[in-house]
Amino acid sequence: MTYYIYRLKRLARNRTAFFWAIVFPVALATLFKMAFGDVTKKDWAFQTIPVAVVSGETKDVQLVSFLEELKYGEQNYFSVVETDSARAEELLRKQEIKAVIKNDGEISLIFSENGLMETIVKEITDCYLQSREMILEAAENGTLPIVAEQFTKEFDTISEREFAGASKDPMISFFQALLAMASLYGAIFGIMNTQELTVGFVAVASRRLSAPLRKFSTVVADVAAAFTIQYAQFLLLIAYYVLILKLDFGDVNGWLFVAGAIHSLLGVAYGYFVGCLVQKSERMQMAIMVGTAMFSCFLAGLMTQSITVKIEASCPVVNRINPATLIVNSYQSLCVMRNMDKFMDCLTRLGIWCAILIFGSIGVLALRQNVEKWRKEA
Amino acid sequence: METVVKINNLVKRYSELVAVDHLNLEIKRGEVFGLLGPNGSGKSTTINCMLSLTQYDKGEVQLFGQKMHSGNLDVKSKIGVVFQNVAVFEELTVYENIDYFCSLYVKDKKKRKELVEEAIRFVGLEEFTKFYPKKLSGGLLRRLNIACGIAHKPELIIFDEPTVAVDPQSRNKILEGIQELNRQGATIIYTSHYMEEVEQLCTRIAIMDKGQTVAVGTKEELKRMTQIGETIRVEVPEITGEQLAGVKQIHHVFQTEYRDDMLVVKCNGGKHNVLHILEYLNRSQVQFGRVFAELPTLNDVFLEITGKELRDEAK
Repeated sequence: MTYYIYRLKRLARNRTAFFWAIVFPVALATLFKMAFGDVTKKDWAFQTIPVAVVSGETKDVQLVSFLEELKYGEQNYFSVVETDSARAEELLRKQEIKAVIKNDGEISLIFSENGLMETIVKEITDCYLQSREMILEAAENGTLPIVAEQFTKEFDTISEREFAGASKDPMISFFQALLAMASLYGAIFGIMNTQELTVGFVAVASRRLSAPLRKFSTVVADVAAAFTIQYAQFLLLIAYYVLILKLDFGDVNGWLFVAGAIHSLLGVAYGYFVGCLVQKSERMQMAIMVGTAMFSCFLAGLMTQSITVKIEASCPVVNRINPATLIVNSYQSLCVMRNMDKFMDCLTRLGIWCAILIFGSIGVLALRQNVEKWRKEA
Repeated sequence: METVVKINNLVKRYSELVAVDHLNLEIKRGEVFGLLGPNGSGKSTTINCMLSLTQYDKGEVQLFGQKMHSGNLDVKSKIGVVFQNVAVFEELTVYENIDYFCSLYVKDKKKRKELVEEAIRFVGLEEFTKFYPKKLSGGLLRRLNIACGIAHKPELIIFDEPTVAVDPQSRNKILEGIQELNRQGATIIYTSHYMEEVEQLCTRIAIMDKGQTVAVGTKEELKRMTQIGETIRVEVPEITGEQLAGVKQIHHVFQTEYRDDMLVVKCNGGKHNVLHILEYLNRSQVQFGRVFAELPTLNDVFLEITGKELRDEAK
């Protein structure tokens, strides 16, 4: 326990770690807030969602009329523009529409960003596809307006469910990407731990290793302290976002804290992996950690939100495995989309990442020891 | 007397470089054992192998009669190490640092508190307990480094060049402290390239070069290994070759050298060598100034055995 407490004190008092894990994300969040302040403060009210429909030869003829029939109170759900593919993509790029619905046998969607409006488009399209037979029949019988009215009620429920408790801040994903960055920067604590277990890396390592310490309990205490600090830093950032910057994170519930715990563990495990893999110099370790974390966050939309959509269109597997994207998506699915299935999927993937990094670190150490043994034998 | 350290045929290689080359050592309880050698002679590597911090290629290390390996916690609990580089945490205060390292050995809080306070008193850091290492001078930092290594009252204490870059006042305090620890019963291993320190402190000395011990013994035994009994230096502004040859003819003189107005005469024992040399210079009408006479040093021993200066290597 003494060992754990001292470890905690040391990590908490370390200025480099404090800068990267707390000061840097707080400063960036404050700058973001200053830059996007008006956008994030805007009161949210439902607005008709502009979409473009690009129809092909085998189009579903009822889709456009169905979308135009749907109403949210007095307002139409969608304002639909029928156009060609190039024009639709241009409108999407200029952010004049929220989605492109491709209607050519299959119905597919293209978005420029992730958000509440996009979620509603997706939910309603999914619902349409599931009930297409019934809608087609209603169109033949001339009862489409009646069926559409029934669907409107159902969609109102969907929308209310989406709106209730969900974040309506269109810029929230930037801040979620910042949280992802802060989580990955928790690797600093993991790196510091590995440095003190490597003879010749830092002076104190030799002193610690010459003491009668059991390796397993030392590593457990080190990991526990690093995790505690990293998780405390997550709580501090969330508190800063919600209480100081007044960001709309939706209804914060217990799952957010579960997610924070897994993200913190991922950061620490990532640090251990880098620390075990790179044993040349502290600078190199930090450079690799910061560089890869930044790149991961860039792919998750830290600099530009549309990048995840572009990746989704060109190489979706990156979005399924990039840790920062998974962290952002876990927040998105929990706080914006209210999609627990997707949330759990993200957490599971992050859990797998944690396992890979932990076992990877052990593997690297074991391999290094064996190489040393073989070298000696040779 | 009980053997505390026994090293048999130790070999440690770094690729092509043989850092420790078939080294044998035996250190008894209560000794202050000096490992003397120039930088790169293998002293620190020997210590690291002894502590199982470095895997060695061949040989065996026994501490307190047990084979030493990284998992031998019983042996580790009896050892204290003061490393060459200051090994303390920047984020902890003086008190916290000593308490932390002591806690790695002593679990009982009450006992630990007593030990920590005793260590603080021992190194004279009472006024600095709440200071962070960054605020301490080089000498105080070295004292903190020592306190962290000895607070748990180890039976064997290894000092690896603890006085490097330390002012003379702090150096004396450190050396006095080490002697006191030895008086309290600790066996000491002291590595250094400063021969004066080793001469002052150690009861037995091993001189190391290129990973090997070239000589082991008490300082008297080591000095007997050299044929130099006395080195006499005389300030002489001018001397002819004939006169210089005449000096070499004096009884017990075996080597003469004249450089930079200084006549260096090495004698292999005998009495009144200074007197005989000055009488000759007077007789030969050679003018001379100041005269210095030195007994043989460990540097002379090192020079004679290895053919190079310990002092020069240590610069």
